[in-house]
Parts: sequence; structure tokens; C-alpha cells
Amino acid sequence: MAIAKPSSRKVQWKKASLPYLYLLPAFLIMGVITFYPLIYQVIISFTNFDTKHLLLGLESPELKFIGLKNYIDIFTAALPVENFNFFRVLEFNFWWALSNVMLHVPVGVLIATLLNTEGLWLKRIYRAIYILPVVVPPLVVATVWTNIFDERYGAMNQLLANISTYFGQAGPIYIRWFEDVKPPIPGFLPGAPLTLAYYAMMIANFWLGWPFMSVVATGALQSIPKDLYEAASIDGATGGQQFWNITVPLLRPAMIPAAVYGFTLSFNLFNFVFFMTGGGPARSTELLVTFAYNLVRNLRWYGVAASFAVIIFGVAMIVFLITNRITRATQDYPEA
Amino acid sequence: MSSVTYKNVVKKFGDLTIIKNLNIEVEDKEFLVLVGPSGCGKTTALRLLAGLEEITEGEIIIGDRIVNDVAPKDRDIAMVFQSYALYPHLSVYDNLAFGLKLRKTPKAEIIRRVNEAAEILGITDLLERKPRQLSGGQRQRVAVGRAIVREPKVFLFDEPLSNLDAKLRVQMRAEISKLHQRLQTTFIYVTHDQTEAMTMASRIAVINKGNLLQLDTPQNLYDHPNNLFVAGFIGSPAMNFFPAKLTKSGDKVIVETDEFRVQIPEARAASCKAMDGRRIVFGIRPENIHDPEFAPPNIHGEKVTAQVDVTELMGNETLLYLVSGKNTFVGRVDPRSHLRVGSQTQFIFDMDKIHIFDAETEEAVR
Amino acid sequence: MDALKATTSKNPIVRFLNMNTSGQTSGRSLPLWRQLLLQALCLAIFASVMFPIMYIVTLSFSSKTTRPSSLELIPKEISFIAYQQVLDKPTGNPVTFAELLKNSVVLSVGVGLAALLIAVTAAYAFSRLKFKLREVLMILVFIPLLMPAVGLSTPLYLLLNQIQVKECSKEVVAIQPFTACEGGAKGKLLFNLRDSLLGVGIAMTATALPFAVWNLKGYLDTIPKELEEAAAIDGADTNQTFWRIVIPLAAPQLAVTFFLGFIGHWQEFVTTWLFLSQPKDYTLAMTLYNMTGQYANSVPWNRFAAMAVIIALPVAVVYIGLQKQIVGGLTTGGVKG
Ligand SMILES: Nc1ncnc2c1ncn2[C@@H]1O[C@H](COP(=O)(O)OP(=O)(O)OP(=O)(O)O)[C@@H](O)[C@H]1O
Ligand SMILES: [Mg+2]
Repeated sequence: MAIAKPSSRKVQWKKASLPYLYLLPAFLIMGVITFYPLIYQVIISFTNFDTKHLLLGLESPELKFIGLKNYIDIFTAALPVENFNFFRVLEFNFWWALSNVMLHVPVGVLIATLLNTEGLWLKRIYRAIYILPVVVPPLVVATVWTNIFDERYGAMNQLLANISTYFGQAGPIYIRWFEDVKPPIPGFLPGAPLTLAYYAMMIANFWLGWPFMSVVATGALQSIPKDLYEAASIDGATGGQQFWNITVPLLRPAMIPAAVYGFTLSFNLFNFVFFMTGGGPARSTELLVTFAYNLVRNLRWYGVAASFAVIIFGVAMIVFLITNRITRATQDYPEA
Repeated sequence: MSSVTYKNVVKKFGDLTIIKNLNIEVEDKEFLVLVGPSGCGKTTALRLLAGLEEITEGEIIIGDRIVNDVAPKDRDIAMVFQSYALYPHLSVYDNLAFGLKLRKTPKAEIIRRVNEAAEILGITDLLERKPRQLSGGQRQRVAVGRAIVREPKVFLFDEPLSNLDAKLRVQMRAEISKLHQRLQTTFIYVTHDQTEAMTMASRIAVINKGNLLQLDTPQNLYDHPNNLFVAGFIGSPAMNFFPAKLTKSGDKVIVETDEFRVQIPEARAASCKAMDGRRIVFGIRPENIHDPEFAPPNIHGEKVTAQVDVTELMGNETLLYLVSGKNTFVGRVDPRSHLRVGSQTQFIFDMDKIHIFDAETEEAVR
Repeated sequence: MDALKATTSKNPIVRFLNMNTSGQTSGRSLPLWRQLLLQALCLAIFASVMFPIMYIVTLSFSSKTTRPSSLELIPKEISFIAYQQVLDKPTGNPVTFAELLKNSVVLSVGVGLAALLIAVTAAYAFSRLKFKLREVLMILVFIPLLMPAVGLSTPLYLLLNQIQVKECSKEVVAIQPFTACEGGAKGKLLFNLRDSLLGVGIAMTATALPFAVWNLKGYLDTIPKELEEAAAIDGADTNQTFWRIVIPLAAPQLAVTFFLGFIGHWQEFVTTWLFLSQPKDYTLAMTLYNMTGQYANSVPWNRFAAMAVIIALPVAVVYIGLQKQIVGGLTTGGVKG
């Protein structure tokens, strides 16, 4: 009996190295433009790197290692920046993401359910229109809403003026959406005042956010078998009862990951803040990402910016671990 | 020569041993069917042979070659997957030609072989189509065609018919059998459908929990199952089992259940004497239980009283679901039977066709 | 058959548009009063969705260069003058629309393609091949995904900024950091990688790449393993399986990944705004920012609106084109029974 020739060393080695060959391009490139910068970032986060050191980088003779000073300055609000308090920004950032998602998901689900009503006229047209906000690039959305909230010429104040004429209040309205420092509802969020700018951004982001949730919910609604509703209505459940007992629980597995995604997206939502408020007034709408950007682009404190980026990474890691747990936990939700 | 041998084959996934010391010798040109319940390791056994999984211990031999370390493509086998695994982006023609192209077969030869296979399978008109434009049955043929064009030594099939509807399945069954006769190569065919196994196989290997329980011709498996599992698995409706005890009284050997006592015919009695007083499982197939009115003459019949619980008229036969005390069992009787639900009568057990298994080892007592 | 394919599409947007479009299946029709109530609700939502869109479209078709003094949501006139002006002279800077467009396209297409090409083999390795360091390397690749783009921009800015080409004197050119001018002379700056489209492209690829790997891996995971096993039995080695089976099957997703990259980078603002200082390198997105709000006191709003529409259109079009790509997803028909 002939024994098939055992695969030679060379062949074996080739086989074992093949996966690494496939990984090589990505890792070569990422090594240079991703991993190296990440490490570099950690290093300069312990230095006083600023514009003086731009040219020579780490070889710069005046570059000093200052230990944890940058970090301590950030946490103790010792940076020479007005109105900056890390923990207030962090709190606002979490609240911003959370309040957005808490609004977008229920509204998205409700509207998806509405459009799912059997026999509703013009359904197709509504669907086509409601999808538009998802299709428009967020950058454009942000700029357009910036102008809409313009104090003197913006569409929002004009709209409010139009409405108020119906109530006998003629004359233009000048709400200073982005400048007013006084929170309309004081003490709503303890520790971080929610200025009008926050509500303006909420409105703009709401316009953008719920249609996406609606799209996800529609997909999930479609997978709920119709006979469940038929069975429930035979059992005597009203429309509302059906919604709470069938629709909501069966949508949960699809909506939780979508909500998590929406949360992460809002958490790092750069465009709206940067375009509409620039983080103001008095840094009341500053997010971690916009402040980080300020540190680099305007203040040019590269060392501090690096420390801040490292902190953001830590926060992102924590957010990821939490949301990942939430998604995992709901994955096991029994399928209908 | 395209025999296939599993020699002491063991397969583990991590700590889990899925195949425990499998030994099978498949002869050249044989149609071997592997059957067993879901999850017993049939697919794994086939994939080991195909080279898609590495074997943990033992040897697999194709022809006269140990193929443990041979890549799938060099094993000279072709496989038809349960999901067909047709390349969705290629036309039917290209699906068939793919393997040949990779092997740098001359173009004319490829065309010839593809056309030939297409003709055998009646898919000549479909060659230009993409798989998604085909019906389930057509896809199945293409999957078989892809195997045929390669002209391999061994064909492997993994439940190729399980995605088809009942009627098409019967038709394809016949076609695959025909194909085997035509190609005259070794077929190894996995299924959990014992009817498929019985109708197609030249020999059947019954596998359970990673063990080979019996390997024999369909008729022998049916008539002489080695153990309780095979007896219950082969045949539909399944064999009736009764927990019982063997007792000797003089020269006679009696099967004693809670409800009835039947005597074992002399021819079988000898082998059973050693089991005196032991607990056994007494088995009898439904067709060996007769309505007393239509019982054939000249059999060693024993009377067992039972009541009819449910009747199923099939036209050519009638199935009776019977109750005798705590036991329920099935009889397959003459369609002219007048027995109806609730009737109580003394059924005739054909004692020449009974099976006796040791209750502890579950092995047949012969 | 076609209808069936459409409703089982994986693209949620396509499903959204196609699902249950007629009330015909309904056993009972909706009572009229409820129909009207729901219609009123739908119309209200309709109005709120259309509000900013109509506002900006109306504005863009207006010929008035003054800022709007009252709310107009339906065009009173259709004037293309704003579009014309934007195309003629988009900003106060000496840069033409064509250049802005070219910069935007070069960046978005370039980064999208580069990320895709580099990512695809890695995604395949992570999805299908077995090797020792798989887990560790996978975590390494996905770590940057957690980092917001802003977070990576500092070190990239600093590193890219160190690569400069300088003219020390006539015909003597130094490439920092590899060579320097003699005697520590400063020299004249010819090229700064950080302040160039190439540099920005590199920086954008740094975050686009891990995303592309992740996105493609997710898709490759869904390609049935049997297809590759069938190919292995048919005689294909890993490379052949990759090129002849996996790549064609992944084509729709490659397109999707590319277009997602394109959409994202078309409106990229963070890095470009941070890195680029010369108007000739500006992109459309940067221009739009320059035309917005307090930064653009002299910019007529009809031009801003026209620019917004111009930037939004290609993305919207691509988005709608993308749906078809996914509907045509190959695996839906061929693999399943
Ligand atoms: N890659 C794997 N890793 C771990 N366990 C596996 C793997 N593949 C199969 N198994 C396990 O091995 C056992 C046998 O699987 P196999 O697919 O061979 O069953 P089968 O007899 O073909 O069943 P079926 O009739 O359902 O197809 C199952 O318990 C399965 O869970
Ligand atoms: Mg199987």
C-alpha cells in the first residue's frame, strides 16, 4: 500500500504563513498610520508639546516630560480655558446621547407602526418621504439647521412668528437660540445647565434621528408574523394592548442594537455641535470630541490634546463595554 | 480501484468526541448509505473523507492511498452538499466547468464533459442560467452534475434530497440510483431518512452517537438487526417492542410480558435457552401481526388479545394502533379487515419473524 | 418572484420602502374616521420632514441675495442664479468649483478605494482562515474603531507635519526628516505632507481602514462555508477560492463598503479643516462650512442653499443607487434552497 507523500516542510510552512500574508497589507499600513500614531499620542500626552515643537517633534530640545500634569489639569479644570470642566462636559455628553436616543427610538417605532397600519392611504409616498433625512448627508443637515436657527433670518424664528400671529401676537421673534446662556428649564440636569442651544440641537438631531430608527423598526415589524395579531385580536386584545404585548416585546431585539448604535453615534456627534453652537454658549453644549478638536485646531496644545484623546479613548472603551453587554444580553432574547 | 476504508477513525472537536473508532470498508463501485439520527456524526464522517475536516486519530484510505494529509482537491472525490453550494455568481455551465478549469483541462474536453453531464441530468437547456433562476430540483441536478463532470473515483452525497418536496424526492432517488448504475463508481451517501437508505443502498451503515452499529445489505438489516437501535431505526412504522422475560418450561421457551405470554418456536428456542430468566426486549414488526380472520396459514401463530385504539386505512393495507394493558403497538393488517375502533380480538403474532434483544446489552439474541 | 426578492432584501431601507405596500391583504378596511385621523398625523410628520428640505430648496432657487426676512417654503421663482454663482466663484478665495469638486472626489474616492483594497484580504483572513494570533490581531484592528476620528487627528497631524520638502538654496532640496538643510538653515517650504490632500487622505485612511475590515468581515462571515468547501473539493487552493469565489460573491458588499466610505468622506470635515490651510486644497464640505452662519456674513443665503443642495445630491443619489446593489445580492437566490 502506497502512503501518500507526507506534505513537505515547505508546503506546510506556506500553508501556515498564508493567513499572515493576507493580513500583511492592512497591518503594514495600519502600523504606520494607525498604531504608530496611537502610541505616539500616548507618549506626547505626557509632554508639554505645543506649536514650538511642531518641527522637531520628540527630538525638540525644549520638549519636557511633565508626567501626568496634562491629565491632572484636565480633570481638575486647571486648564487656562474659560468655562471648562471635564466632568460637566462628560455629564452633558452622556445626557446628550441618552436624551437623543430616548426620543428617537420610541418615536421611530411609533411612526413605523403608524406606517404599518393596514389600509392606510398613500403609505408608499409617506415612506419615500420619511426616509429623506437618512439620505441627506449629516454635514449638510447640520449647516442647514444652523441657518434655520439663525437669530435674525432663521426659518425657526420666522415660523414661530407666523404661528404667533394666529394667536394675535404680530411682529418678528428673535430667540437667541445659540447665545442665550440662561437655561429655559433651570435645574433640569443637575450640574450641567441645558441651554436653548441644547434644545435647538435636539430638534435638529431629532429630525435626523427618528427616521433611521423607523427604518430599523419597520424591518423588525415586518418579521413579526401577522397571525400573532390575529390570534391576539381573537383573544380580545385592543390595538393598544396588541402594541404593548406583541409589537414592543418583539421589536426589542432589533431596537436595542439600533439604540446602542444611535447612542454611540450621538455620543460622538461632531457636526451638529461644531456647526451649530461651536460648543457654546459658555461651553454648555461642548462634547468631548468637539473640545478635543478645539484643543488641536484652535488652542494648538498638542500635549493636552493627546491626553484628552487618551481620556476619550478610555471613555469610549467604557461606553463600548457597557453597550456591548447590553447588546449581548438582548441577543439571547427568545425568537418568536 | 476506488474502495474506501475508515480505519479506527476518531474525530474530536475540542474535548467532544464526535466519531468514536469508526471502521468501515466500502468496496469498489458500491453504493453505501450512512444513516443515523440527526447529530450522530454522519456529515462529519463524510467531511473527514472529503478532507474538509482533519481526522484526530486513525486512517482513511481511498483506493490504495492513505489520504489523511491529502488536500481535498487531490483526493479524487466529488461531493454534493445538502445546500447544493452552487456558486451563485456563475452560470450553470460555469458551475460545472469550474473544477475542470482549475485543473487546466483542455477547453474542448470541458465542453464535452459538461454537455455529457448536462444530458445525463436533463439540464442542457439550463446551462446559461444562474443558480437563483433554478427550481430546487434543478439546482439539485446541477449540484450532481458538478460532481459528475469531474469523473471522480468516489462520489459523496450529504443529504442531497432533504431540501426537496416529497414527490421530487422519490423521483430523484430513482435518478441517483440510475446514475450509480450508469457511472459504476463508488457512491457514499448520507441520509437520516431510512426509506432513502433502504431503496438506494447496496449496503447500509447505521450510525448512532458516533458508533457504527451495523453494516449490511438493506434486506439483512431489516430481517436481522443486530441490536435494538437498528431494529427500531430501520422500518416504518417501526418495530414494536415489549419489555419481557424469558422463561423455560420444559422444552418450551416462553416470552412473558406483563400482558401476554407467547411461545418461541422450536427452531429459535435453542438460542434462547441460555437467556432463561433474563430480562429481554421482545420485538415484532407490524406486518407480522395479523387480523385472525386473514392470518396466513402455516405460520407459528400465537394469540395476543388487544383492543383497537385507532385505525388508519391506507388502501393497500390497514394500520391498527393496538392496546394491550400498558402496551401500545401497531399492526399492519389486511385491508379487508373488519376490525374497527374499540374492537377487541385475539391477534396472531407470527412467531417465526420475532426479534429478541438482551435488555441490558440491547444486542440481538440469535 | 421579483416582489419576493425585494421584500426579503437585507437592506432595511429597501424593505422599508417595499413592505406591505397595499392594503389589499387586509381583511377589514380601516374605518374612515381613523383613516382621516392617521392621515392628519402622517401629513404633520410629512410637513416636519419636508420643512428644512423645502426651506433650503426654495432658498436655493431664489434670486434674492438678501437674507430671508420671512419664511418661504415653496419656491416663488425658479432662478438658477445662485447655482450659477456658486459654480462660477464658490468662495472669496481664488479657487474654482472644479478644483473644489476635484479635491472632494479625489479624497472620497481615493480613501474609499484605498481602504477597501487594503482591507479586503485582511477581512477574509479574519473571517475564514485559521491562524494562531487571530484573536489578538483582530482586537488590534478593531481598537482604533473605538477612537473617534478627532482622537487620532492629533498625532497624525504632528507626524505628517514632520514630513516636509524644503528648498534650502537653488537646486538643493531637503526632505525632512530624512535630510536637512546645511547649517540648520530654514529654507523655503515646498511641500508639507500634513498640508496636502495626500496627507489628509492618509489620515482619513487611518480610520477608514479598520472600519472597512470590520464591515467586510461581517459580510464575508455570512457567505456560506459550503461554497468554499465545494471550491476546495473542486480543486481550488486558498488564493483561487478567494479570487474566484469570495471576491465575486462579495462584490455587492465591496460596492456598499466603498460607497459608505465615499459618502462618509465626501462630507469629511474634521480632518480636512484641521490639516489643510491652502484654499487650493479645500473641499466642497469645507466651503459649505465657510458659507454657514456667523462665519459667512457676506455670503448670500441663496448661494449657501445652492451649495448645500449640490453637496447633498450626489450622496442622496448614491444612497438610492446603493439600494439596488444590495437587492441584487447574489447569495439570496443561489445558496438557499
Ligand atoms: N465544527 C464543529 N465543532 C464542534 N462540534 C461540531 C462541529 N461540527 C459538528 N459538530 C457536532 O458534531 C455532531 C455531529 O454532527 P454532524 O453534522 O456530523 O451530524 P449529522 O449526523 O450529519 O446530523 P444531521 O442529520 O442533523 O445532518 C453534532 O453534535 C454537532 O453539534
Ligand atoms: Mg448532516
